[in-house]
Amino acid sequence: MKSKFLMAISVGCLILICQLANGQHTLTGKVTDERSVPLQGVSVLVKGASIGTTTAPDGSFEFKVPGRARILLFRYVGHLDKEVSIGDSTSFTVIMEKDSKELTDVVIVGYGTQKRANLTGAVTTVDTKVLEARPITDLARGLQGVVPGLTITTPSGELGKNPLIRLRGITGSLNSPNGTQPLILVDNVEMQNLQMINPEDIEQISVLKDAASTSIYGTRAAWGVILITTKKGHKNMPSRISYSNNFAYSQPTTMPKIASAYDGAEMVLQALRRSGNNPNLQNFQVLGMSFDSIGNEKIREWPEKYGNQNLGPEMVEGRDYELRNGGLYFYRPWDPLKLYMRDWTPQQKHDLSITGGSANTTYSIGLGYLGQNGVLKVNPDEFDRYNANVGIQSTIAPWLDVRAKMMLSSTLTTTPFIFGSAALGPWYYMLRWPAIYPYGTIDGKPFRSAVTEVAQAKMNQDKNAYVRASAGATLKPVENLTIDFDYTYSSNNEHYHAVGGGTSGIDFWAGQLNYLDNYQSATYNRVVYVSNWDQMHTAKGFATYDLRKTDHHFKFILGADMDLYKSWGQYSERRDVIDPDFGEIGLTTGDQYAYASPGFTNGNQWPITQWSTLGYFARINYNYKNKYLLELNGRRDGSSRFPQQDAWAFFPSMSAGYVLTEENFMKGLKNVLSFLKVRGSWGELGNQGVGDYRFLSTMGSSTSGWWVGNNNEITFSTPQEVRSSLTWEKISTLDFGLETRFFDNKFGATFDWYRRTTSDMIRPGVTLPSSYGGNSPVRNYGAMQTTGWELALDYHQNFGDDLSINASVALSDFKEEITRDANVTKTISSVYNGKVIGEIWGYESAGLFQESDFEGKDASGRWIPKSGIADQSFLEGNSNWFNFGPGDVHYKDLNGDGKIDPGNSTVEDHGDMKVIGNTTPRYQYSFRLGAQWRGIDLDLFWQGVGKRDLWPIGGGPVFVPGFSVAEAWYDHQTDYWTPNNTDAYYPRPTSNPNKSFNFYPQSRYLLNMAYLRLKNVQLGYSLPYKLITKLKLVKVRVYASGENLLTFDKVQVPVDPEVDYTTEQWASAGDAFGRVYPYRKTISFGLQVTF
Amino acid sequence: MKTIITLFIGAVCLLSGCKKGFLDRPPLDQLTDNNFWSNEKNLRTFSYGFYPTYFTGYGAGWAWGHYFTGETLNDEFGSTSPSQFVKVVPSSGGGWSFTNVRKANIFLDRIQGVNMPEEAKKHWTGIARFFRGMAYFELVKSFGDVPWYDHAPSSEDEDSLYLPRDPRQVVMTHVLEDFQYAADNVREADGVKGLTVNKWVVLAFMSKVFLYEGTWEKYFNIDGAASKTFLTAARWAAGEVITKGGFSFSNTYRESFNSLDLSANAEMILYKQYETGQVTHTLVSYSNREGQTGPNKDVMENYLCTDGLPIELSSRYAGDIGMSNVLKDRDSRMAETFAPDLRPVGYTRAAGTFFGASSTAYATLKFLNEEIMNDNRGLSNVNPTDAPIIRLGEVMVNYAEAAAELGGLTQQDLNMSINKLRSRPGGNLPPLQVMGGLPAVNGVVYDDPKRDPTVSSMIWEIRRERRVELSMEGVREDDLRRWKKLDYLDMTKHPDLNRGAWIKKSDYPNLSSSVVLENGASEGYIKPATALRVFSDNRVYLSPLPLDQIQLYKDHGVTLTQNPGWE
Repeated sequence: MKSKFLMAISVGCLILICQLANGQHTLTGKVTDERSVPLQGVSVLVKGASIGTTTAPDGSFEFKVPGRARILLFRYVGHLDKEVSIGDSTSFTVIMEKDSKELTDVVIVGYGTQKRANLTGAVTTVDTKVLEARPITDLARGLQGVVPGLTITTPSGELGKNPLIRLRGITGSLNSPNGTQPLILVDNVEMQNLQMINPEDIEQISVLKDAASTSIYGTRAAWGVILITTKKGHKNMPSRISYSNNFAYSQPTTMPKIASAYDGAEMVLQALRRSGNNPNLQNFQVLGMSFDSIGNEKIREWPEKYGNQNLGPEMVEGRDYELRNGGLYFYRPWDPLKLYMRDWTPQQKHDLSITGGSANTTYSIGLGYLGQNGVLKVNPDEFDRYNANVGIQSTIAPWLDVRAKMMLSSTLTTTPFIFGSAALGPWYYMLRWPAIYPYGTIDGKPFRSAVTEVAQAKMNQDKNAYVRASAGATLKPVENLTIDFDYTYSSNNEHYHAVGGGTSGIDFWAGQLNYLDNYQSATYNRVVYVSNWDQMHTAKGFATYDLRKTDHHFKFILGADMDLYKSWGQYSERRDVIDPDFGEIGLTTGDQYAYASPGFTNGNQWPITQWSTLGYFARINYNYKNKYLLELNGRRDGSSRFPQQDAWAFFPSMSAGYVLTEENFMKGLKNVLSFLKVRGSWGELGNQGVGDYRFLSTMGSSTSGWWVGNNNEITFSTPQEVRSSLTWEKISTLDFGLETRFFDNKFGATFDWYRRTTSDMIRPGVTLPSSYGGNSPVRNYGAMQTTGWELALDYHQNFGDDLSINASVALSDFKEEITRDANVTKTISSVYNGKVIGEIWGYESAGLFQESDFEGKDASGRWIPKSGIADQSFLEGNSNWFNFGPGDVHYKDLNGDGKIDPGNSTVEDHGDMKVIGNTTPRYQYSFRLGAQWRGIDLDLFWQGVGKRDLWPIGGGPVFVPGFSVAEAWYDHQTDYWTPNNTDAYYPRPTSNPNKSFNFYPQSRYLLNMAYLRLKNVQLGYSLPYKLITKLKLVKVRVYASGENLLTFDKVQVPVDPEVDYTTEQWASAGDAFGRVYPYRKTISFGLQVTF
Repeated sequence: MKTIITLFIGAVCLLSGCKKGFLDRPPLDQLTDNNFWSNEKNLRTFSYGFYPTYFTGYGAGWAWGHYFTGETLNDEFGSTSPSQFVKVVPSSGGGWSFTNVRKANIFLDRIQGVNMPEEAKKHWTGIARFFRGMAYFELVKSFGDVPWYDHAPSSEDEDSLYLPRDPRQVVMTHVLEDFQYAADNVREADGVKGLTVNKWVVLAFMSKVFLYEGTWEKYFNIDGAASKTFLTAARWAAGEVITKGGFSFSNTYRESFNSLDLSANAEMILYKQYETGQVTHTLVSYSNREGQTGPNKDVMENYLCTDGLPIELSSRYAGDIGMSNVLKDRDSRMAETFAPDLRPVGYTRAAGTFFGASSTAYATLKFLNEEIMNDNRGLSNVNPTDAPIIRLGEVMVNYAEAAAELGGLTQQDLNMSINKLRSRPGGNLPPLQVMGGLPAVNGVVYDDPKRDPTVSSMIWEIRRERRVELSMEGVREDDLRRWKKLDYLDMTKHPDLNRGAWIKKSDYPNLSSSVVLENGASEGYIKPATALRVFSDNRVYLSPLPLDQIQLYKDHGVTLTQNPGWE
């Protein structure tokens, strides 16, 4: 009150002085921040003259300026300078833009806030602008590349899937089910599924990276914390309505292309000739489709004869197919991707937010809709999300604030029912068969195919409803003491409904054209309901006491928090649907099944489980003259995941900082070096994420596969020995950081080095002989270490005349290594002391063998290598047809023993194998370049990975030519060795399982997954405020934005460099590598309006 | 201020569960070793954990059992790429696993603490010992000598963990004790008949296990006395099943392999139930729609003619040109095992059939169910026919062989075994007779000119009967091993192994170019493989032990010996 009064006096005085001096004209206006919160105390200056004022509590100003004044300059701490030309205007509405890099900025940290300059831990804040106006569906995709140390990957392009989020490393602990996935707290309460929060509702994001910053959250924060706060209203703020939208169109970045019908048949033929020891082989069959030399000639001629005609889907006997001598021959090629994939897949997003506040009460409402369509033309999958986020806070007494928040989020994923024994998706199948696989019709009837099945399928519906309600209060009983209580209930309900049935088509898989009304197994004639529920109670209470004694500033926090989590689910199925259009359990007649653990849904697999944690914590912050900074944390943690006598453990952490630029001897450098801080931290946390009941000798139940009557009899696993000494894993992090800013804060750099050690890691104990008959009981024995560094640079510059530019760079790297393990055998594929996580063992390839490498063939037809060429016969295994010859891979004899073998496959004796690469993404980087000129803004965000190798686990036909010899071969595989094409990339066509013959893991075919891509480019135009004020608007911006528009990579096969192997389309993983839902690039445009 | 602090502390206390047991969250959907072993019902569920391991039947889904071509190393099929003998010593694994021994030992231990009547305790103890015996039988079959564990060792008990290998006859003597205990104590009837281990299942397996071990010890000259003990046990167990088990032949031979429901088949001692849409296999589809590895000439020539004589001796033998001649006047089980037509790759199917081609042109019929072969249930991996696990027919050939190997085979022995098989519904062979220790039919002694001279003519005929009765049932490799006759698998010495049917190329206009006849002729026997299997080293009778185990023992100062020839 007092300050307001003084302000008013001073403003009054200023006006008075101005009037007395040179009364020309009076300017009035109002200054707010981007969220329309009025800003008090903003300096308003006439550029080039020492005349100015500051704004009142409601953000308004009024003062007289001389007639020659041209430009007004607005300055406010934590915000970018703003210049406005005066022209003829006398009234101004000015929006100050926040400078998120500014040191005076207040950053959210665990249980409180901290001035950026005074931070002693490794905390990165995210400018929420990176989420704006992008056609991204969830927060994680928006954070990719933004925070150094945060690794975000998406294994495929499937709709509604959560990207993987990992902080500082990938694995962390060998027991951690989700690796180093940080704890994600939205308004201080965990949110497991980031799809559920609308990126538009987010106000602030902090990423707490080191143990000292996260330890206050205890056992579940072992891998860091992402703190997110949602938007709220501010006091004395007029109601503001913002609406934004985004319309996006996407296209696959890259897809494998099936080889032309003729090339494909030729490769199959050559491979079969080889594996069948029959060089004269002329004909073969694939899935009922016959091939012979006559047919192959017709296949070759078909594109020449009919390729340019529009023939429609109906297939003509003789031209497109033929029944010859009992065989079924197809000649016409099809491109299912071209036929059934949309050119552009639409997506739209609408968001509305209303915020405001009176003197005592503030409110905010956020509503959002996202609609995403799938890539297929027939029965496309869809993903819809609706969000509502409502918050209210009120000061009901000078010593009491109360608040309540409600968040609702509902998603619906609609996908066609999948017919297939495992989760075999249509993408897998469309890329599975050779080009002549018929997608046409005969007499209007379709053939059996993945597309036929998608087209005739009912749609599965997977619905998730997330609800969260919280209530809290802040007490201020005495000055400098605040006490906060918050309770949150959150719950997710997932309901999945699938209706199968049958599909009709011409089943030619047995070599005859056999139309069947239903060619599916009776198993699929079913209705399935799966429900999963989870609920979590979170309560937190803490007291903060601020104590200032001249230069000494203390802050004490004492508190407790608890989580109680429970989840459960059920699966019900009933067979024999009366009418698939009415696919309900009541309308079925067959056998029924119910299971506790569903095994598959689009969401998680949730058997019934429960856990609870409880912790007491204390923190002391000490700050001497903003120069010496110290923080001490202690937390006593309890977890239900350990037996009662061992449920509790104490974990300490500490951090310190030293701001050199606060020293007098540094003041002289202030013009160049605006800020320099060194800091260090160490802390230890317990990790309870080691599995639910490891300290109990549980006996898992499963079906035995032995049926008696209608029962698949249940059986129980053999109980495992459990050691009574089993206890917590400990995760400690040592972190050193340097933060510095130069040239009046225009340029900044932050560097962190860290080492995180996971000790007492729960690992199999000593290696036991097989005669023990079980797995070695686990004990707290292993250790692993992550060492890494992170660098962030930023720069911004205002050039006046409305031009400003900004740039930022993030770069990070880490390496994870096993530092202690009891494994004595040290097989290279196992976990052993010294293993670098992600390492790939393989051979070095010397190229492909040429005929000149051989003496010729022996009597039995085997090639005899010339002397000096190492003996590769070990790699032939027991094969009776594969013998290394011209066109096969020549492996290098690394140990010079004259033969190629893996030795004992151990670290001590690994023969000719070595570590040829690593799957861990190394040198992750991003850079952003932005410029604003008048109302136009341009922003380019590039993101990349410097080094990453991949040898897909299961191989798969896209990666290994000949992996499934009779299935499709791909266009990129046509560059294979023949006597006339000796410098080909691929060996001569060979039936080749993964990790054998020509495809032992090796340097030649190791995939290089490094990339650089233009993650986002955005061009926007904001209407001049003169125009919009006339329309009573605050802000109007139109923009165009694109994702993944440019990619630079050297991946040898047509897969997106960001993908990984995934089990989405085929439960046995690697087979489906490259045959998954495509990764996409997107263009979009939209509008942002604030009233 | 004070009140507020008190309030605060109180609230903290409240939220943090001064409430006792807030952190006590035991599993809600899992039982533990402490509370599982409470009643007979739980013991039964635990016992089902052994079933899929030892009673594979026709497998599940795409995974094959040992039936049909599921056993790849044998002399019944003419594959285009014949399986080879093991050549390398594994660095780890290789079958050297005691998981099921531990499972059985823990089962045995926990049963003793369950509160139930003595009779029940004995029954379940018998079941546990039966499965321990089965586990050891598999180990001994592969490796010969193995360490014997009568309890599950603790991970800290170094002395028990690194036991050296016990001689196989010692181990099998323990196994015999287990089987004998089970035979004496397991209930005659328990659970659903035919689908649950009972006394007769125990005895049937006992005959199989000890016939194996008894003949092995005999032919490898290990321990004559033990051999006799084991063969006597085999003969006794088989005799018990035959005379007291109440099993008989209610159906034809083939109905034991292609029926949708075996519950009424009186031959079944144990069978595996398959159900549409629930648990299914691929054998019908592989007899019908898919291309198959076909039977070879060698197996065809094994079958007797209807006069009970081998083809070399019988006047009824019609030669092997054309399938109708091959099947003419032969043991009825032959037409129940092999398809009536030849199906070389590229042959023209009869209208309305989908039969896939065979690598030898001979095709398998034994597992085909004609009723379902063209509907949904006959496709891919969703075939629901039931699989025999152990049946009277096998016990009978076990009996005959054990009796013959013990010496003093009587006509009575043959009449209660082999002659029962020959007179089952559909059977067409005259009874086998023993005259002066030699085989005879219709009162005339005969001796197959193709007989292996190292095998007596009576044993030769008993082995023939066994090969016919158990054709494609996955026992042939084991039989050859225990008879020390793996050289029968050498394709260079036994050219009929790589011969299919005799065909004339011009009879098949669309014949695939992959079909090659002997010597590249235009008519003759199909030659499926070019790369042949050779038997050259006796070491393959026993599997090599994995290197990591030998090293691990060595690191603990104990020697784990490698099998001969694999060092």
